[in-house]
Amino acid sequence: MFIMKTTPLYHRHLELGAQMTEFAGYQMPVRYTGDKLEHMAVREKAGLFDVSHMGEIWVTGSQAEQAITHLVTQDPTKYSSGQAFYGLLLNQNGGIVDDIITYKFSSEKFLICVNASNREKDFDWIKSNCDAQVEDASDNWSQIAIQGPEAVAITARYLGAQVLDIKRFGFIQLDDLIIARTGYTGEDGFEIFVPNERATELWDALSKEAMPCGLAARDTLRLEAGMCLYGHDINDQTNPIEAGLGWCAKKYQVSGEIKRRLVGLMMQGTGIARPDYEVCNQTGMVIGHVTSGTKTPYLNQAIAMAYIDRPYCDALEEVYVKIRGRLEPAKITKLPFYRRAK
Amino acid sequence: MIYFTKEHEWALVEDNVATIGITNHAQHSLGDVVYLELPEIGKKLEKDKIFGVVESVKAVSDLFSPVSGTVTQSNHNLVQSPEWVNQDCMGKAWMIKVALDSPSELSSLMSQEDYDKYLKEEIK
Repeated sequence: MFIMKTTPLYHRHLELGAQMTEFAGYQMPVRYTGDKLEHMAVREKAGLFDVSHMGEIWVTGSQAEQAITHLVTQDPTKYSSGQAFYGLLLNQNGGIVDDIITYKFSSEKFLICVNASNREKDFDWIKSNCDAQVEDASDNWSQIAIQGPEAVAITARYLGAQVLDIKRFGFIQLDDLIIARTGYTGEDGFEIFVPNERATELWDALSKEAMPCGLAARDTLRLEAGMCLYGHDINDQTNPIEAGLGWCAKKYQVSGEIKRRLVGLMMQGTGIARPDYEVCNQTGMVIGHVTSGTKTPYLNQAIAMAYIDRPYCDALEEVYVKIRGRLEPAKITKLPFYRRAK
Repeated sequence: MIYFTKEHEWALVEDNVATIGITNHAQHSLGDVVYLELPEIGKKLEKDKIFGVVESVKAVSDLFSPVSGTVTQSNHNLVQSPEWVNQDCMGKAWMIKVALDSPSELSSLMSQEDYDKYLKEEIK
């Protein structure tokens, strides 16, 4: 029997009238009010996300730092306790097992936050490739993200002024909460790890001022911010360099030449590029494919991410996306599409 | 008379012309509609075949014609303002008007009552 999992906030979502969908085995909210409204709340004020489906894996013990050094593309010895960093788990072929955030509590204690869909795979991969103690604590933890220009001030009102001092990619422990200044929207804010039994209390406090947002808004926000979504823009077959993630995998050595790159596309016509649509050159030859695409609310523009073969991806020129048999013009652009004002 | 399809289109038939749109259930499932493709006047449509496309922020969905016939009007204003689908799906977000080939086809569509029952079943 297949049992759909729920987060501790499931009943809150239903009370708020959310449309629910299955995502990575969980019943998750797609939207509460509307995708555009929720997206704009995050860009202009603050939005609140239940991301409890994300996985939490502890790597601890005297071998922990060595294990992270071996398994994660970033060097953990360069970070202090209380710092987090984005990085990748790579397989033997250099393909991306997952993109993760690693939180360094000490050289003997690390928390890895993994994509929900990769939780078992990542746990097995980490466990079987290191000598540290590895524990999947995902079922004990919920996670609430508060994002937007007002997110930090709102959080400070409820959790105290000490959160104001957390630097970008820093984190603190406050009682049984782990509060990290990270996110997946392109805005300032926090991702807060909270024990399941306290998730509803925290949600209720923060949702007084931050608008509940669903997975739909989370996806359009991260796309505007040029962030990859595992399973769409990156997978076991993609390597960090072609995905534009070489910056966090400097020790990664490419064998052979890079044949394609992940680029941004700005649609020039009225059509919207969607995942798996073909990208063509002027003569109609297929030179790549779309991995993510939508018309985003903030930019009010159809944008996409696509793998395009070299050398076509290297010139910022016009390509075409095949939409229901028609070739619609698109401009290759650098990622991200949106960068918040500092 | 108003008729409904299992794909959540509605067809309001007056004098052998069907006005066609999508239902409240459809617009709600789609979320914010951002793009539409509708056929030109004079286009021949076949029952249950694709006549256009509706796209929301999250989804692309084909539109299926409830009837066979010829397009007599296409709502260009709606193409310019796709958000009307969310605001008034049974009113100003009508999509096309079709002169029916064979009114007998209508008997295979659902009445309002049947459609309401169908929705309850589908949501269950």
